[in-house]
Amino acid sequence: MEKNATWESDAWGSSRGWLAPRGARGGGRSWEAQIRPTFRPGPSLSSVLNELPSAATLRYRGPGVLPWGTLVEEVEDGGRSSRAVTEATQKELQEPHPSRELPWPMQARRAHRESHARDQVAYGSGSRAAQWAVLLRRSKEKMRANLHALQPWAWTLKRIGGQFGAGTESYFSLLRFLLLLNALASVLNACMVLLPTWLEGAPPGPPDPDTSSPCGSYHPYSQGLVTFPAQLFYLLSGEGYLEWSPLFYGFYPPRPRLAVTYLCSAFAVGLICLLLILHRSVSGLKQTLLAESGALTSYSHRVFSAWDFGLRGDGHVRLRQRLILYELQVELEEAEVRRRAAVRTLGQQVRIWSVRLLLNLLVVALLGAAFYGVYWATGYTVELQETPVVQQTPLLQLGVNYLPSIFISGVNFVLPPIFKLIAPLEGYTRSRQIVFILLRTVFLRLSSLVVLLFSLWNQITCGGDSEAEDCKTCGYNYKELPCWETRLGQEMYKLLLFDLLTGLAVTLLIQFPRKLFCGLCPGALGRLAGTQEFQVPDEVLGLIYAQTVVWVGSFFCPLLPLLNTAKFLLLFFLKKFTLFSTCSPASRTFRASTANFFFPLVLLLGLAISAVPVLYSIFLIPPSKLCGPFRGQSSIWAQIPESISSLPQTAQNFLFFLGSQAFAVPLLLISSILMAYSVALANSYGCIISELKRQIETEVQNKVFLAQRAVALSSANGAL
Amino acid sequence: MGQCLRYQMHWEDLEEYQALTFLTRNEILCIHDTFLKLCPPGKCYKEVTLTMDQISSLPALRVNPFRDRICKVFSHNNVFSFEDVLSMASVFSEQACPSLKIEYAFRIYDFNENGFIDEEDLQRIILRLLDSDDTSEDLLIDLTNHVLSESDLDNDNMLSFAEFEHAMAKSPDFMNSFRIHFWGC
Repeated sequence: MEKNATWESDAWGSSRGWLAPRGARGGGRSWEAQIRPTFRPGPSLSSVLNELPSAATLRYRGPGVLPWGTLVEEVEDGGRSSRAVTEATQKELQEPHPSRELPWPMQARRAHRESHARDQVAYGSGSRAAQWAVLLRRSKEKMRANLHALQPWAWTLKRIGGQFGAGTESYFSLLRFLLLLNALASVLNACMVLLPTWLEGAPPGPPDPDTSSPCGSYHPYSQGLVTFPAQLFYLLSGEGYLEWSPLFYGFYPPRPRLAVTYLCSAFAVGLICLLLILHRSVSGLKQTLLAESGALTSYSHRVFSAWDFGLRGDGHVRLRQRLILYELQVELEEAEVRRRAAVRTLGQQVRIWSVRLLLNLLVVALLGAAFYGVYWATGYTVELQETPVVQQTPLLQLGVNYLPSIFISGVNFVLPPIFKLIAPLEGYTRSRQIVFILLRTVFLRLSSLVVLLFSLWNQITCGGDSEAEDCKTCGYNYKELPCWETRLGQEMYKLLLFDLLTGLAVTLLIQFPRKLFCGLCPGALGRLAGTQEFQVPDEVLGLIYAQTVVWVGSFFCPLLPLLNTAKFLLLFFLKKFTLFSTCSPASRTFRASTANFFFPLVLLLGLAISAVPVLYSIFLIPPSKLCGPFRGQSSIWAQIPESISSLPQTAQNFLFFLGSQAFAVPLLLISSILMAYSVALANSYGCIISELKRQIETEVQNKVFLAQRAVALSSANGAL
Repeated sequence: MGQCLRYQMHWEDLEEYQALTFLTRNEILCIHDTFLKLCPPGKCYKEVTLTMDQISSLPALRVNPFRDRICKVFSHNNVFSFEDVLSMASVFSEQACPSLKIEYAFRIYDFNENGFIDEEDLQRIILRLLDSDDTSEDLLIDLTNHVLSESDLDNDNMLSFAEFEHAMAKSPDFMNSFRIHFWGC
């Protein structure tokens, strides 16, 4: 502590930095020597600078307490500095700070609060507006605190964040958010679909197997005794008695009001999900897209916010230290890579770009092979189901039914590790590699779902060819798929179930045995096998994939959000249990800020992708003639104009205006103008910030110059 | 175990603490419990002080590399009263405002307490963050130079509070990492 140092050396010690910019130390010191006084008059440079108002408010620790950072001679000075300090804080007190935001000891805050309350009373009614403003602010705070308290599992999330880091906490926070979305969706579906179905009388049973129509016949199941294996099979594949149940689209009777509410529930759920996801991602975006463009402060952030103060446990601490060292080394290494990349010769550039091209071609080839496999599997399923051997063994039948899901899961399991191996060869910096791996994995997961939907579309609409033999009469392939919406719902139902089963299987059959094995097998081998980490990006992408499946399926399977709520609830407790019993904290942290920005974006992408098949089915594919609430219509959407025509004329005109181009084009123009304005505003703020930075530098030089003149003048005066 | 009972905290005191800190009711009561477990029997919690060692050995702070600085900053005359502990928990709580956290972070990181974070402080911070065996001199100097070149706006080789505030206000992770939960109950 400097208290032991002499006054002079201390003064010059802190002033050395002021006088000498980096790299000019030697020259500065000699200049100091020239104006160094030969005796002890007046103030020193450091004491002058410490009296400045900006230093004073920081160091003030409250009345009655020694200002923090006091040097010995200032105490002897008779409190000249403390006077300046109290003056500055008087100014601070003029602004209405809430007492708890002041960085003072409790006693000082209490006094401040009491004096503030006395002032309020003394000024009486003051101004009505001010009182209302204060009341409004307080009630808003209370409401926010209550909402915050309503969120379940808050303690659990804090514990997880403390032990495993902010990245893992963000996974569980996302899981909780998706649980809320699904719960809302299932409530909406229950109100708008289930309730109206039973309000107008019980829905009829399955169609008679004897009836036939130009569009084939549809008999979902045969009544009578069913064996237990068959029951299990029906449960897992959504066929049999489940096919004609409120679970799937085909069950609902063709009543006009039910049709309207069915359609509106789909749009309402989509809109609410969009609004909630946007609300959640706005805060993440605010943190990441800060106004200043180009200026990186990654080193300062890594040094000052590297240590998670909430960490406990010695093992975690050592891990954390290794991790921080690793991150800092990575950062320095990246700077080195960037520096080297800037000085690459032409030959090296050509070489590295050809390597990158090759690897990207490899990735594209792998993805293409995976997608073809999924496409083939979906087509082959139908063929395989016709073979007699499959029809006789229920287990094989189940396997064939799940073939697309198995293929998708297999592909999602095998390819991401290959991406992780490929990425380091491309010669990018480590953070860019992570971005590439994530992008490729996201593309893989969402596209395999898209390919499955594409092959189903192929089957339903005979490849989009409405003149094909099978599709001519009814507009869809009525021979294979008498009720195509139920079939689509069944596929999504099977994907959901299979995802849950694989999650359970991986936990029970891989993670727990691995932990047991590591416990039994001592030494390095055990440790190698046993340290599993919670891979945040993979888990989050799995969540987003599952949610996209549900969004696609919820139009064709109205109870799917309810099933998904139950699944996510189960998943939460399962993952929490697995985390605490088998995992150690991740050796590569996933910074919470990246998680807050990237994952809601991918969730939005999933929502957008899921909207495409649903909207396509609503507008372009004729509904089944034998099942569902839209049978007999030319398209599912056609129900809406019919219902609108039964509304009063003004309502009709208004709604038609909303759908016309006269509304859409000006809306688009206005949105584009607003967007261009926001971008221009953000750019101008960036420029202002750079300008202000330059001004700060000049002001500081002014300040130092003036302080030195003050010292020189007062020492000259003292000499007289 | 202390003889002081939980119910010794009066309702008005609880209300006052809620108004003067960022802590919720449950958190204040939790800290009260922990404080009572450490204080000697027979005395009221308002009169007892705890030493810096006792606070450093709380589970929330035991493994923190900056615990001595935290204790130094928040204690008065090297002891902690109950209100000092509450103030500390308030600054580290989730609901605390960023300006308060940045202010105290600056005080904690200023090892030599001269009002600035200079090279010496930076080197000490980095040494505390990493295991001392692994850090080479080059790494320290490299990192220090990088931090200063990024955040030192006026080129004086030190970070003043304004510069530190400017850098931390842009850090998206600062608020998340500058949190401690004092639940030991």
